[in-house]
Amino acid sequence: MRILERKTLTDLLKSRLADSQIIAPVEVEGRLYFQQLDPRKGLADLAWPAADQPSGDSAPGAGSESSDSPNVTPAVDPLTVNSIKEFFFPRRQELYEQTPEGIIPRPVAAEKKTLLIFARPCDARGLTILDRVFLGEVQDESYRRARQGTTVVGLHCLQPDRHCFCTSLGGGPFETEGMDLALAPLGGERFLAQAVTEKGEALLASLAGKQAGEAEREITEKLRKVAEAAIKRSIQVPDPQTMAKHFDSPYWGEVSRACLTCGICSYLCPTCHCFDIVDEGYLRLRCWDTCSSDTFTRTAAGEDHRKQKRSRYRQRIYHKFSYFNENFDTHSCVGCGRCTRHCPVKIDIVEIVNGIGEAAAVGRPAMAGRPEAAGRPATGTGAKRRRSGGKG
Amino acid sequence: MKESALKNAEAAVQKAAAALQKTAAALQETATDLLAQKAVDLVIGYGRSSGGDVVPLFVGRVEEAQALEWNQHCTYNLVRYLTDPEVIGSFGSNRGAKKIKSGAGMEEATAKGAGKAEAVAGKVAVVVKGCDLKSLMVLQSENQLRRERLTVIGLPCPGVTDEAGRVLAKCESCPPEVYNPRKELCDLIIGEPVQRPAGEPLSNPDNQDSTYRDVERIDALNPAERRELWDNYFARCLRCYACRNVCPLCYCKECVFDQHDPRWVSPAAAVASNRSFHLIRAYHLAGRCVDCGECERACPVGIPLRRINRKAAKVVEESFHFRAGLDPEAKSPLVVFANEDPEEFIE
Repeated sequence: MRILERKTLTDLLKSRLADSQIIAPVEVEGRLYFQQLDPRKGLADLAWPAADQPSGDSAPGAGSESSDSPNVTPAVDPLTVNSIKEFFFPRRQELYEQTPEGIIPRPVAAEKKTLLIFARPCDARGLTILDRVFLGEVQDESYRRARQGTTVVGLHCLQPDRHCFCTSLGGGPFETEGMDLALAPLGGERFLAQAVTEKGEALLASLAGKQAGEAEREITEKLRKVAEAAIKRSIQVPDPQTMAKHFDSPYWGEVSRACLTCGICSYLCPTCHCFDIVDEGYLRLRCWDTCSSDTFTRTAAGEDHRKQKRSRYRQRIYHKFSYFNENFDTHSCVGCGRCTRHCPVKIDIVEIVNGIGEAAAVGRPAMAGRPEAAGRPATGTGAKRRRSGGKG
Repeated sequence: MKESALKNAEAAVQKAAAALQKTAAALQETATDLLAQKAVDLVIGYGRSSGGDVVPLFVGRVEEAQALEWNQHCTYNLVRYLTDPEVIGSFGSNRGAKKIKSGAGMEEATAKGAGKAEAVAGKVAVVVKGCDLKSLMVLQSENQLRRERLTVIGLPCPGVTDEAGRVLAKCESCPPEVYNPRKELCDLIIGEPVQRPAGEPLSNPDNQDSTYRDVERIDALNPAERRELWDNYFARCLRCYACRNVCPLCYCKECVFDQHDPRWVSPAAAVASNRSFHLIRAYHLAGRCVDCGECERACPVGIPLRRINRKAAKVVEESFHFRAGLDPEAKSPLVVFANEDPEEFIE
């Protein structure tokens, strides 16, 4: 573990701008997005992690473990809107072109040296889940090249918000799975860097920085505890038998009733990977698709196998927490909370999954004002919520 | 001085919150009565998820009416659900409601959505803010609702806020006759009329003073600048269709963008297809959009969609002296012919 000054990182990024792509959080009109930096603009767009303390009203002890720089409150949501998946699995990808000479495959883009910086632990872990799909028995060449060419420099997460639940899915704000190099912010100007893979080690070896001492380790450990404690939500995925048992429950109609069947949850999800193959004139291409859409299962003849949104929403939950687990021994969810945070009607995946066991048996969701479902976690905002006396 | 101003502001907020709380209690009582007397089978209102977010709440049982909420985060336009076959259909079916033969509007959609031979649907009460009510007016004028099956509960609205507590832009210019829903358009009004800094009046459609400042700023750009501005926005679009799906007036059973054969617009996100999507949608909403702002609120990537629809609204207003959503009988000028329609385009 080494201590890197912000200037060291700035110099690294500046030098890399010339010969490689840099993907980093960029602020656009008050929201953060992962974007490729425009080399002509240098690092002007890069949004540095602002706060050095867990934010939010739910963080106990926030501010008490202050290190040496002032506590800056970020002006924007510190979590990016998009995940990093689009840099490995693009929204739109050309596959073939029909020409008078026949069908010509589009060449797969050559491996490009890429530095992806400030990926949150949830996003980095999402890559390891996508790897299972795209780098399994059949390897997706363009995904493989993008993965191989990219060094993922992660950022420990000091700012989980009330929609985060990574700790209940095997992740955590200080986990390093999927990163090559992990950075823990020690105040605004210094980072504690830890190599996770050989790629990360090589990168770290090229950077100047003194060895971390006990003091820095202690600070990091304290920050980790505070960040973990700031995550109030916990998803309790029922066992496979319970999942199977409630497949036909009227519960799915109840919990999906508000669903608008848009694609926000899928498209912002770091692990959703379904795609469609479509033609644009003489081009055949692959683009993102979402199971919430009624066109997702529509066949060429016009028949649709998931006519109702309840079956489409159920598909999303079962794919993530049942089928994927059967195939790949992990859930296809990292608990980043984007699906709920950005849902236009705040459909709450944690509430819905946690309700499967108990509420699905009676066909009704566990909502505020309704009886508490067993195993439902205490929420940070729960105490502020007006409790009403529904007996239903 | 500053401190006292701050205290005044805080007091005003607290007072507003108390008024909202009182209205919420009255709403719960009304919903309980409506359900207990079987006047309605479903109340569509606002509730809260266990994660602490305000969510649409569908209340079908008396004992659940206590979960209804009314506060400054109640942004959603619940009128959207009145044309959703799975919302309307599922409630009718197990409530012993009278059977309605499939016909126009939601009944037919129910039959299709539920895959049943005969649609079953009950009566529905819906909680609306004044801005939402305007979209209900348009649905009514387009024969998309069985008004007699609907109980419209209007709530005077002090303005709603985003999650960070900022009042939405659409609320700032909202006039009193909108934020205090008009009695003759609702079945019930709950809560006292709200008084807040007046917006610009909509009651006189000929009033063309600068209510479209945001649009005018873009109009002032030259075509190349406008193109660049919008293409930068459209490049971000994920084609998640949240703007379309959250829109109470996008009720087409099969959207042109969902058609497979022929495929008019590629579903793959790219500037050209995204531009087609947004502009075609704007044309479909011209003369109909009531500026409820849901599209812009839902957009995860911050495209200022209201400006597109408001541009169309401005043109319709200037050409036909018409504003959508003020009168349930008025048809959009783009679907009717009138002798006095302007004909400047015929040279």
